[in-house]
This record gives sequence, C-alpha cells and structure tokens, in this order.
Amino acid sequence: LRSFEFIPHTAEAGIRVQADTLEELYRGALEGMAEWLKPGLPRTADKRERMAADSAFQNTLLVDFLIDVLTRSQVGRSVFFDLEMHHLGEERLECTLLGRAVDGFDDDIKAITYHGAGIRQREGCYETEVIFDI
Amino acid sequence: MIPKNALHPISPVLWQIPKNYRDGMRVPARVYASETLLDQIVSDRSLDQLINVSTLPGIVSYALAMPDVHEGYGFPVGGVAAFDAGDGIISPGGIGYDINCGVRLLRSDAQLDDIRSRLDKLGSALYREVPSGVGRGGRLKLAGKELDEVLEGGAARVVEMSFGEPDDLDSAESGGRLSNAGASLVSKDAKDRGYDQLGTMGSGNHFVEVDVVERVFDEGEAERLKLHEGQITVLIHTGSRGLGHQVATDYIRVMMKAMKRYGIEIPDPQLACAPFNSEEGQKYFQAMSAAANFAWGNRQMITWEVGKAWSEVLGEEAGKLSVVYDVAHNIAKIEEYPVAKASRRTVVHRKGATRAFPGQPVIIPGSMGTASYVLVGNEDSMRQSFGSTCHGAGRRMSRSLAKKRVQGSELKRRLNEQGISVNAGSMAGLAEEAPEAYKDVDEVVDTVQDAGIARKVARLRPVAVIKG
Repeated sequence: LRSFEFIPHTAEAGIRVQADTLEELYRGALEGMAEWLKPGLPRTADKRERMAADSAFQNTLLVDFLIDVLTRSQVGRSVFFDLEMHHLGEERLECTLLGRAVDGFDDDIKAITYHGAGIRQREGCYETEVIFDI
Repeated sequence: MIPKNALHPISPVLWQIPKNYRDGMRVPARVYASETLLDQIVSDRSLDQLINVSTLPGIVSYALAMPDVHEGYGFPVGGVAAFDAGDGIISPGGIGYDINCGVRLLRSDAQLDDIRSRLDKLGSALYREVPSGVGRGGRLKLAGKELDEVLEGGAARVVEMSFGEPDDLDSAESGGRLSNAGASLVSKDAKDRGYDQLGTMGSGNHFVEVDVVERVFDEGEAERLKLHEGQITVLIHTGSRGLGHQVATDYIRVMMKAMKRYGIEIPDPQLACAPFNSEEGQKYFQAMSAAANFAWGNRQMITWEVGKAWSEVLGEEAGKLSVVYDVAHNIAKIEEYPVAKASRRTVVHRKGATRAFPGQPVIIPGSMGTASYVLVGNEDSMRQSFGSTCHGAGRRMSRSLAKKRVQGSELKRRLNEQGISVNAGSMAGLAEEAPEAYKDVDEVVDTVQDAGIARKVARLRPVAVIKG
C-alpha cells in the first residue's frame, strides 16, 4: 500500500509519500514525480530501463534514486511511473524502471533537492517528503 | 520558524539574529526588511535557513538576507554569504540549481505611443521567436566542441556565431563570460540536457517582458544609461536551463561524498559543500562558471531572437535594441571586501541576489502586473552587503495556493484591462506567477534604498508579458 500527495512550498513544490514497505515508498515517490511531470499519463509501459543508484548516506538513497530517474526523464524525454526492484540496500539499489516516451512534460522539475531528506517510520508506516526545484 | 522578537534592530531596515541564538552559528544572521516585509519574512522558514547558512565553515562577518527573501531549500532565496577564499567552503546549494539565472534589460528608441497599437502583434511575435515552456527546444542544437565553446566563451561566443553585436558584451556583469570556466568538468548528462536549450526561456518564473519607463528617479543615472520616461524597454529573465540544473545536481552529490572526508558537518544535506581550495571545490567552481557562461550565452541568443521579432513587427523606424545591462542572480564570485580593517578575499555566494557594485546598474524584475526597477549600486554595498542587493519582489505565496486563488484566464483578462498584453503557454503557469503571489516590489526596492546599498533610477511598467 502506498499514497502520495503534493505539499505546498513558498516557491517550489514537494511530495509527501507514505507506504507500508520501503519498496512501496520508492514506488510511491516515483508515481508522484510522474504525476507532476505528466498528470494522467496512461500507466501502460513502452519503456523498460535497468538502473542502479548509489548514495553517500543511507537516508538520502531515495533522493539519489529520484535524481537519477529525473536525469533519465529529461535526457530521454520519458516518464517513469513504476519499477521492479531487484535489490534495495541502505546505500544502493538496483531496479528496472517502467515508463513511456513523451513529447514533453506538462510541468517542469528542474531538480530534486536533498532539503530535509530522510525517511521516517510512524505507526508501522514509512513516510518521506521530497522538495522539487520547479 | 524564527519569532520576530529574535531579531534585534540595527536600523529601521536592518535586523540581526545574534550569533548565540542557536548552537553552531559562526556569525550573526542579518536581514534587510521594513517592519511590513519582516512580518512576511518570519511567516516561512527563510530565517531558519539563513541561520543554517551561518553555521558553514569559513563564513565571513554575517549571513545576509535581502528584503525579497523567501524560503528555499538549503540556502534561502534572497541570501548572500561570503566565505574566506583561503579556508572557507563553496556550496552548490548556495548558488542554486539555475546557475546564473539572471536578467538582461534592453532599451529601444521607441516610445510607448509609437508602438501601442502593435503591442499585441509584438507579444505574439516574441512568443513565437523565443521558445518557451517545458522541454521546448531552440533553433540551435549544440554538442561536442560547439557546446564547449559556448561553455567557455559565454555571450561572446554567441556574438561570434553572429547572434548579436560586440557592443552587447560591454554591458554585462563580467562581460558575459567567466574566464575560469571548465567545459570538461561539465558532465555528459548536463551537456545532453543543454543540447537544444540555447536561446530558450523555459517555464516557471522566467519571462520576456516589454515595459515602458514609467518614472525616472535619478535623471543623471538615467541619462548615463540612456533611459527616459515613456521609452520602451525589454526585460529577459532566464538562466542556464537544464544544463545548469544538472551541473548543480552533479556537484551536490560530489560534495555530499567529499564532506565526510573533510569532516564537514551541516544541518541540512542541501547545504553540501567542500573547501573552496579542495579538488572538489575547484572543479565545481569551474563547472559552475561554464554553466554561468551558458546562461549568458542563452540571454545573448534570446536578445537576438527578441531583436528579430522587434524588427519583423515594428520595422526599421522603431530602431535597434541595445543592452542596458545583464546581471546574474545565482552565482559565486571571488571578490575582496574590507573585513576588520583588512582586505579579505572571499567567495561570495548570491542565491536570488544581485551584485550591486558602486555605479553598476541593477535590474530588479517585479511581478507581471506591477513594476520592475532599474537601480544602481552604492558605495555602501561594499561595506554592508558584500556588494549585493535584492533580486526581485520575492514570493510570498506558494504556487499551489496561487493557483487555488487565481484563475489563469481571469488573470489574463485583468492584465489585459490594465493594458498589458499576455502570451502564455499555460494558464496554470500564468496563475502561479500572479502579482498577488509576490511581495510589494516598491517596498522591497525602497528598503534597499533606505539601507543605502542601492538607489532607484527608474520604474518600469509592463505592457506585454511573454511566458512559457
């Protein structure tokens, strides 16, 4: 189970993601980013890309993952909305991204920030907030 | 959030949070603000973020916030901090993702009355000639050596490519080029993102705007800058696009890893930094300079595109457009300042702030329904504010709240009624930038003038707005 919502910020934008497992938290964050870039995009994948992400700190791996996905999205004009997780460690993950090629994005994300990065556990649930520079 | 009573007045427009306010502060934190602006500033986390900046190694004198400051991530937007060039740090987050986001002001020989009937046509032509919006590429596709030449040559290289006049370079901060740029230190991802982005505006708060000089405050300075009441000007606001965003992203990661090695601890990972003289610090400085050059090249290319639209619609009789000045809002520079009666070489970080050297023109874009300003820097900026001043009106409302409160189509109608022609790719994007989402630019500018760091030359009123 997972959910995400967009949260307000004076100049930027953010998402709050909640999930019952860490893997679902990553999936929820990916969905949130996809929904920002291209709301309502059909969730039938025509692209699959294998990737690995590393982080200097265990509490920033999710941000590093989203940074890598955003770069792939911007360079390859794609939106990724789901993943198959192959390995999820504290400072490294490997997965296959599922997404679609797009002509452009409806809204921009210039960058994913590390501001306040971290994953919290609350009442058996994982939660994180990520601020996008838009 | 920081309560207002934590701030001690130094003057009616300058407030200080003392060094002992929070553990870890190395210097005090200062904010330029009127009472009214201060009430707005303490309503978000701008000052918490400013205090975080004051904890960074090598910071000199104080962390500064300008009156247009608002909450960012890591550093607040509207922040200035100088770090000792010998034992201080450089932080990509202190410059921001949109490296050398900035503004360029062009002046014309035309008066509003000369072109009033053709404003809508001019707005449409500008919208067509200056690619804008998310992911819309430009007319140039640059890779390999061609892109590297722009990264190292900046606006001058774009002029060499026949997009502009050599005179354009005389009126830009650093001549539109930082000589220490290292194109080889810009990643392939960054170069791929910049491939088709030279000469593009982007989205968000970026714009091209046609303004009329509504009021001149300083006749002498206005004459020097060849500005007069009723004159048409064009304002360009954009930066280094995806290329700069990727440079910042790449080097924040590099610094995150490097900090462990240098034993640097920070209160927010977005403040990731490395000693300026370290390998990581120097590489970032050269890559940042390359991205800054790309931004100056971008504004140069857009100047050419604006000139093309201008000639097409108005013909020869409207004359040529000339550059008044071009300033960076997000950048790090090596500059010397008097500190404790000695000259100190520093790495000045400006994130949402403008260089304001004595006599230097400063361009302050306001919101699309209010006004923009031309200022000049004062001598006192060198003593007080590391040669810096504000960069705009400063947001006070989130984009989501602005969209809830303002309908893009309604805003467009309202602006049209005010005599402002609007061309925008997205009505939602237009609503995000509604005038009510910003602080009062008049009050922001009056504050920096009252503080003595810059003075007003002219007020510009928008007559045509072009947005992505």
